[in-house]
Amino acid sequence: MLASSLVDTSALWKIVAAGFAGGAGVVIAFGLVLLGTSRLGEARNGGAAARSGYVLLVVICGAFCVAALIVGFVAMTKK
Amino acid sequence: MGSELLLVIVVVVALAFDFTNGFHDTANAMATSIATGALKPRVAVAISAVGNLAGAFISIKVAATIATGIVDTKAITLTLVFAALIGAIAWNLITWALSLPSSSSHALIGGIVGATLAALGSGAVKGHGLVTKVIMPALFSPLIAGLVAVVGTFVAYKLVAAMRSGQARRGYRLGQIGSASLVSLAHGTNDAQKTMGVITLALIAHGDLSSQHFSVPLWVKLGCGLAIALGTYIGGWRIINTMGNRLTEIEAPQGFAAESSGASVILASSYFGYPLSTTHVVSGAVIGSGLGKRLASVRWGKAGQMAGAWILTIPGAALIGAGAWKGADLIGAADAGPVVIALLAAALAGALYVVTQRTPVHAADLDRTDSSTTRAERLPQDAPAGAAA
Repeated sequence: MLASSLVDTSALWKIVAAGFAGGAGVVIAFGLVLLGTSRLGEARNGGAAARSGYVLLVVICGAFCVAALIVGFVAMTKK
Repeated sequence: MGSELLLVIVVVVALAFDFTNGFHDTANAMATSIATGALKPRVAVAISAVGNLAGAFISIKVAATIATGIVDTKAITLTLVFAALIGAIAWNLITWALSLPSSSSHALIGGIVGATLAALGSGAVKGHGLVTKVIMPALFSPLIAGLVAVVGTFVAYKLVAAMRSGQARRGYRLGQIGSASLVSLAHGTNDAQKTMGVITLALIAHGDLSSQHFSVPLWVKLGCGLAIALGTYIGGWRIINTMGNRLTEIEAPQGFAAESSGASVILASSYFGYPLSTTHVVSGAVIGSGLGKRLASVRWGKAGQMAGAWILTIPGAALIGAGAWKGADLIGAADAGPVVIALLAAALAGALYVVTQRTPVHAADLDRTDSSTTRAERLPQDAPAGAAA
């Protein structure tokens, strides 16, 4: 009872979820961008399918990072 | 109401607090980028200064909360605001001299609480609000940021293992510039606005502005933005050294994970209306990044000192704020009290600066961009727990 009156648990869980999605999510997505770029460089003489796969990985994960950045800016203007 | 001279003193002291806030908190955004060699120290603080300046103009909601949402503007006097700021500045300078990161926001809140207690008694302080909006978030925020950073760092190193090390280091260093800039911008929107709120509160108390039709004058925005940016550019090298080098050894993937985790938790909490300290969040994230790479690579002795400073911040700043109010009240005679206290505080700040110059930390000491061996390694270090393992 005391704890629930002192802590807004609903907001707390939202922060935990958003923190993991934004924080850990961006770190993982950015790491995958680097990994994809690295493998793309190594696969220049490889198959087209592998190259397309790495390009797709870089584009999707890069878009996730950019989207997270935009959400961050929007959150900043709302506070 | 107060005199014109007292209003000028309050504005100058508020800008001085903003300046100390800037150099005290530069580490939050840039310590890891400097520690990993992603940026030269001077370039890092310049980027952070621009981010803080820009952030000051993004919104005025934090300023509105400080000016009209926390205290009864009718009960506030200019002397009370002055004493609160003296408490906050003094705590910022003491912790800077001790090279300890601590929350400037909590120092300001502590100063306000202390001065209010001394001036108006315990009935004027909203105890429940203090616990729910300040103390509880202070307990949770480093834990959340730390946990996010542990996961982020752990996964980042799994990915690094699949890449060439040079490529990974370059990539994460580049990423660090972006994540650190975001933290700087977020810091500007939050901390520069706090001082705007304090100055606006003083203008309301003086009768120059109405609390009914809240607005922040352009000169206040500009002054606060420039003060925090200048403070940031000066660079709080002592605290940057603690955050970047003395908590844990940081590599580029850890730095990126710490900054990204910190930024996401700060922004998420702001969005959901949960006020957090940037310092607590980023410190938690830095410790988490140390744990995520290798358990027990954190220097717990230094982390313990920081936690001690965090616990003492509100009571410490409150005590000084209360003392400043009592001192000004005892001297009395209209503006004479604040003038004498301000001069005394400036003299003590100067003396503290002289003392810190016996063990100075400069930007060049922290530069890791040119080689892996830097003067930072010759600065006093603490042995990590389990270092022998």
